[in-house]
Amino acid sequence: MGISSPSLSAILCTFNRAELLSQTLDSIIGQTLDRSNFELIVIDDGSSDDTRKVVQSYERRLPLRYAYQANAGLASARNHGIYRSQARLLLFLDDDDLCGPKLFEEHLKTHAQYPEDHFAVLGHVALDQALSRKPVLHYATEIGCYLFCYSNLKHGDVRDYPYFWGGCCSCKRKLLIDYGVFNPVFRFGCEDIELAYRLSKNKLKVVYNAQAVSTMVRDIPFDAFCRRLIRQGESQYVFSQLHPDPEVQKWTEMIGAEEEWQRIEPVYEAVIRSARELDRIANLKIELGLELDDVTLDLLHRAYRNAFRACKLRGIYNRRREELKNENDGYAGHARD
Amino acid sequence: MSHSILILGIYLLDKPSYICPIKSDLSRSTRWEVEQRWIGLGTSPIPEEVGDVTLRKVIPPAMKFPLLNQLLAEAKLDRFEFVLVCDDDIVLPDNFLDRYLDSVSQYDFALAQPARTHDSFSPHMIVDGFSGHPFVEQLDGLLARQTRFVEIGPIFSVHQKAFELIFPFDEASPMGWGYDFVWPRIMIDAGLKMGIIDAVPIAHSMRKSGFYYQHEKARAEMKQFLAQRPHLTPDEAFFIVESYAA
Repeated sequence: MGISSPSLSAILCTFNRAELLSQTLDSIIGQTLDRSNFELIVIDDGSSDDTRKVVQSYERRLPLRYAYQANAGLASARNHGIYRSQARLLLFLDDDDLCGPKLFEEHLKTHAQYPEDHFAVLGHVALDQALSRKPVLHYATEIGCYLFCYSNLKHGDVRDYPYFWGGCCSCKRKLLIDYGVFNPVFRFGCEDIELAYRLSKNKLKVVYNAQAVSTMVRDIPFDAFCRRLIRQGESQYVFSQLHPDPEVQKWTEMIGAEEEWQRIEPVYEAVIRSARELDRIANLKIELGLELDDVTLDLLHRAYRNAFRACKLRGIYNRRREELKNENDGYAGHARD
Repeated sequence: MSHSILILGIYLLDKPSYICPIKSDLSRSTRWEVEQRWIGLGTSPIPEEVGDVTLRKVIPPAMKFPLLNQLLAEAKLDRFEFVLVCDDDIVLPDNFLDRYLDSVSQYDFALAQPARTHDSFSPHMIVDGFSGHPFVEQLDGLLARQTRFVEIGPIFSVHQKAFELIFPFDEASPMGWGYDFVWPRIMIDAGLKMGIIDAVPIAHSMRKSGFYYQHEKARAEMKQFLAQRPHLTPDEAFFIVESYAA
């Protein structure tokens, strides 16, 4: 924005992850990009733990600015970060990822190759080696593509909006200032793709840089992953209601969802219980140093697939029911007037 | 000059508006001595409820900021700590004026506005990056923010220490297009703070900003206005200097 502005603003939104945060901040200290060329904006989304203290302990080691807000969700926190940033390029980071040493440099390099405002850059998130042995995370990243999925991408690919993945993408600040920011209705999930969908009307393209590496280091056990997918389903419903475009309906998995949920709802608890049990056994075997045979793996993956789909559908229908209830309450209130 | 506020505005007589509830809401302050001065624009009769605060009726066409200048010229500004300029198509939250002015005073904003609610016009949607920008949409989680941007409407306040810098309005842009990119330059040079109060957002969802329906004309007018004055670009203006949360 100005002559003395850094080249890149890294925006790190965080909520109650003080323990992991110091690892993330350490990884930023190790960037090959000179400190004068970047700034780190930490948006504390209402943490009640030691987040502030942890961030403050890095003030001398990093060109960082800390800002606190009452808990408002990821979209609001990212918007806060966008408006506090000074650089031409914005890189969104997740608070459970460690940045590879060349992460910032690689993002800058790709933007230099694609200087027009409508090009964003997608980096590569790898799963921490220890975590990749966890069956649920292996499935979520390598097979089910629930967290990230790079199997159909190669370095240098230029893709459309569905590849604008929030915690590992960078873009020009001007693109967001000129054409739109995150919709604060999304507290978790879909905030990135919904924004990218709107930006795609202004030609957004996403360039994949496989060398811009970060590593996810937070374990997500089975039940936590299920809760995450329920929230994801809720956000998908909201996204589908905002944009009737058939492409969005497809992406949000709304087509045929109602019939599917009617089939699943009566057996929902059993589906989750069964997958949880298989997950427990698989983890136990791994802890004991045993291999998972093909039959077990096949069974486990089928159980995960069914459970995760069920969770997403539950999220979709939680939100839908809530909306119907609000509508009905509204009518009732109106009638009383 | 103590705890007095002058409220100025133009309301439309021939189109639906919220002028009556706005007038009523703004008069309910318990801590401020409020004086309201409005002009009714149109040919229909002045509503009885706002007769006591309407100085006169003006037959269109007339431009907003020259009319506001007339109101300013007729008032004794040195009696007031703040001037609040208000449109007729907004919905104010409960106890707006006291809460808003508490925050504006606390953060020492010489030029300020309340944020817009999420259901106001143009959330996340942008017309050429200028009018109704999502930058002014409420940032959940914040009480207020020091910014480099306060928009020309639907509502903004000026503290007494900025009266000479902001008033009278520059009639080279009679609808005000472009003021909001010139004002930050003026305020920065004067060492004064400007900001947005997120804690008391107003709803702006009745009529779209004139910028939308007079888009090309407004854009050209703004471009010409800005070309002759020091100003910030949108990229520079849509910036939070400091944010405040509970």
